[in-house]
Amino acid sequence: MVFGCFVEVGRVPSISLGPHPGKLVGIVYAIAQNRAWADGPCSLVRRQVMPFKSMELTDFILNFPHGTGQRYVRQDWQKAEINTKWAATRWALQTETRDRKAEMTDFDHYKVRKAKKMRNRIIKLDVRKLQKAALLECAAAAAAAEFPAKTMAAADKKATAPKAAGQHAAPPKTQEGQNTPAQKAPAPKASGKKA
Amino acid sequence: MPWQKKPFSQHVRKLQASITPGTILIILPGRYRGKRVVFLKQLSSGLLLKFVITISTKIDISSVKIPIHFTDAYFKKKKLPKPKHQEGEIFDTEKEKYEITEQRKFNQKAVDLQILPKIKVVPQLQGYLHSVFSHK
Repeated sequence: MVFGCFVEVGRVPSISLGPHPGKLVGIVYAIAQNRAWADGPCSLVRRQVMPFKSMELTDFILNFPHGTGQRYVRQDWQKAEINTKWAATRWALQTETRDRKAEMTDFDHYKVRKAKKMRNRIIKLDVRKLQKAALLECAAAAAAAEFPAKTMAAADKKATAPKAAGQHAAPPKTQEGQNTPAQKAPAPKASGKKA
Repeated sequence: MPWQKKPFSQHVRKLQASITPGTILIILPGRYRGKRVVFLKQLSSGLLLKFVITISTKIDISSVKIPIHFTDAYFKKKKLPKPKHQEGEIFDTEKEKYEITEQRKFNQKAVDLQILPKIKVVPQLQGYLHSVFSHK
């Protein structure tokens, strides 16, 4: 297995332990074998010594020389738009939904149940429609096989019509899933969490 | 002595800080177990509020006026007089059934009319309060 992510000056790890879990920092200097000087000016983490063990490396690297001042770390960070890129990663989305799920109240659970029920109903209906269309197709094809030449034209017409209808009614699978608790969480709660 | 034992009626009734008027609770014991309710006010006996799950959802019922005479005495179960056996009759005569008084119905309606619109404001809350809680 070849490693691609290395601990290096400029690497942006996410902190997993300690008082700033989940925040991003930039590695400014490797002080010892197991510690680094890390700074997160755009993620509200003061410049401090941090053990490597508390870091989870991301794919982001900033380009500054070792020991740079906070001002330049911030500049690089903003230029690279780390915050927006991070928010778009799956990792960040997964942690966000995980946190939201953990904070769901009984009321939220109820709303999710109802939403899932509605979604499953929609899917079921559309699956049944497709099945029906498929059956009609089979029936038409069978009929055509039994009575070849004459009814071929008529059968073709029949086959294409329901098929088109079936494709048209393809399940509009609402992409709720992960985002259901997010969507259904009441507004003040959502804003409170984003802050 | 301040720590002398007091009779139950003089005990201090504490209430969880999370339970305020308008909080939604789930009742755990009794006939209404699993039902979701709206907390209106704490009565002087502090009855029941230990055996309840608090939901962090709240309704704003600050403008709801709860009749003052909603006290423990009002809600206490009425003991119906047992029919006395008449001579020669072995089996019980018809038992007195519990009748809901008109006053209760009137009060219930008065409070419901105030609270229902508050519930309807919050989307899906009515259905939620309708549902029953279970550990499945």
